[in-house]
Amino acid sequence: MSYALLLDSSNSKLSVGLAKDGSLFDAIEYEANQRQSELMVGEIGNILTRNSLGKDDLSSVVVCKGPGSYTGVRIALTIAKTAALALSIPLYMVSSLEALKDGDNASICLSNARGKRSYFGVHKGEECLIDDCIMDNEKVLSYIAENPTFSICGDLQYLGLETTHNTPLPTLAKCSEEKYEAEPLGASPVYLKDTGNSALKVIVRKMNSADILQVLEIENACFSAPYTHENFLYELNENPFATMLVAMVGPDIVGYIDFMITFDSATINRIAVKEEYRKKGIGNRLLGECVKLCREREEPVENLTLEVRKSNQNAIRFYKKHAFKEIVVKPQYYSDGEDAIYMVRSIIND
Amino acid sequence: MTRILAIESSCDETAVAITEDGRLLANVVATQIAVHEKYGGVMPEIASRLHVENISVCLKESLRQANLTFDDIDAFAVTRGPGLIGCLHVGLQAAKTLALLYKKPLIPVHHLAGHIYANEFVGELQYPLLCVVVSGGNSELIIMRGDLDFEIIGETRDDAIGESFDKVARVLGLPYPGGLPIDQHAKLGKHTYDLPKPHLDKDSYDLSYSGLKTSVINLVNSLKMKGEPVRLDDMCRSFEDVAVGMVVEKAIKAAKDFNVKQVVLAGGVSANSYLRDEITSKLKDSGMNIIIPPLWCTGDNAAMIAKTAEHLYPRKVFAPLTLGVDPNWRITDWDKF
Repeated sequence: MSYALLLDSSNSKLSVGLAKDGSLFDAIEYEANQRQSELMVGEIGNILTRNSLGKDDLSSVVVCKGPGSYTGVRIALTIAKTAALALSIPLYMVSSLEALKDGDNASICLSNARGKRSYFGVHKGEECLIDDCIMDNEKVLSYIAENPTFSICGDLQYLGLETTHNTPLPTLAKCSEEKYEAEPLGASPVYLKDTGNSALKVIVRKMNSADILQVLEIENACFSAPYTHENFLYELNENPFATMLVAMVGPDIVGYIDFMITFDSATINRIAVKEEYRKKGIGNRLLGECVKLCREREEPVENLTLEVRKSNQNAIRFYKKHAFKEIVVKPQYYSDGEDAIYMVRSIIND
Repeated sequence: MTRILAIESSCDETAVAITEDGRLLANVVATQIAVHEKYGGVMPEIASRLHVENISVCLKESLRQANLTFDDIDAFAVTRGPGLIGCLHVGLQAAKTLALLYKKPLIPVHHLAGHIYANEFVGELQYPLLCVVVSGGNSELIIMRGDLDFEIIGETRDDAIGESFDKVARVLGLPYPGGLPIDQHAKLGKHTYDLPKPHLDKDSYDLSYSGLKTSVINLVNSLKMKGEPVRLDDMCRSFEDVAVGMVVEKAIKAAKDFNVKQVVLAGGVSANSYLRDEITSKLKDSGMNIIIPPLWCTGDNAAMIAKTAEHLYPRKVFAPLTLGVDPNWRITDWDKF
């Protein structure tokens, strides 16, 4: 007897399956909430045991190669590579999107690429109608609207849509074919995104009062106690210590930073990036310009400080990445009673 | 006869080693330094990607070197932490898969314990001992009163010593990692720059490297502003004297206070020639035994993970297949996972 071992952890699910003669034979599949690293190998053990199978009953491994969560894709692929090497059996790698297709129906296959974007591919049976790519969610939604007969596949909660088909296993069961065969030793995932900044051309410049309307739009979307038009006018025209910079993509303001330099220390009052432009290095640019201005002062700025809401884990991670250290918790710092974390980064120091 | 295959992927080296009753049969290290060099430090996402690419090749090469198959292995060991989380995941999946397929124990190993036990490749550990763990991510003084009995008596309050070498190297325009180039330049220079020693509590064994790094950076900047050249060799000498001097001073104090039989060095910075010389010469007449790990074992490798696993195997420190990684694992919790 010979079985194909099917694995996918490229999204929120953990999927382990066994296939026999090209059809799904048994499956373990559930929402794993980023615990695939802990759980997947054990589930492979479970599915083998409950079918009274041993390692020698496996004749191939079929795995999703991405795109999807970077860490998630690596988990299943590392297991698959190791098993293929150990057992000297072929490794088949299938696009994580193609694997989601709904049989022979035309299928729009999707997963969350974050930053209001999706990994997007359109597959129909053996045919690939649109190659896997990254697409803005807005475009994805209009594509779906234009093609009402197509299946929409994947975990679509992030788009607020009902899914037609959300398991890779039936497709993976059919994928023991030459065109999917991978060289197991050096096999690596498909990420689609680079780790570096995208090709976005971002310009950072001093803010002026004509920018306030666009800035307010971002401000209102980002902060629960936003600055008002008057607050921004004060920062721009009256506060002698304040500097405000905006990040531009084309004609649009996509982010800004407001900071104050007082003698040897500087404080960040505000930093915000428009949601759909996050994770593209714009925050880095704004913070970088701020640090650069601090360094260019005749009287050197030694420390850059800020307060951040304790619940704002994304921001805290961002600051830590930029060498800020948590110094102290300021209890009930915000008017709604939430604590602030006071963070400091040395400027002369790195 | 016990054969252990160990996997290490906690930072920027993908490594696999095989030991047979303590004898090293295979030691494979796929280094990523060339890739990270251009960033002046390790980029976690890039490192994780490279581990996935390299892992199978390293496994295969280890079997070839040892002339064995996976069937011949009695246990699979893996670095569970501390380290970069995305990197740790890769080694863990490979080790768990092998443990599952071959129905053999899975041994979780603490990365720093690995660095300490690496010394067993050159000598026998004698307790109580003081271990000076100095690397890019750690600076700790650890007392061991017996096998696998760790007590951290001092650690850095801010940067790790290796981190300060890397950052100072970057300011001086030297390549990454900074340890070796600074060491080489220091050999040619004199201690002419006045770099303040941090004010550390006399009774504590804690260390601090952030202030020293700042002093170097400020000094370099002020020299540049005055248009004076930075004498690279002298700067390296001055920095190394203070950086290494601090850890040597605390180590000597600890060795005497705890009346240890032996002092061992561990971690990447133990490759530093000045540290090796200072520890050796300052303890020459103390009657204490000193072990300095061989240079091949100062960087990250899996031989040291296998060596540690040899101590865990007879105690049956085995993990279930649901084992997860712990990027902040404390060495004193080596048996909690």
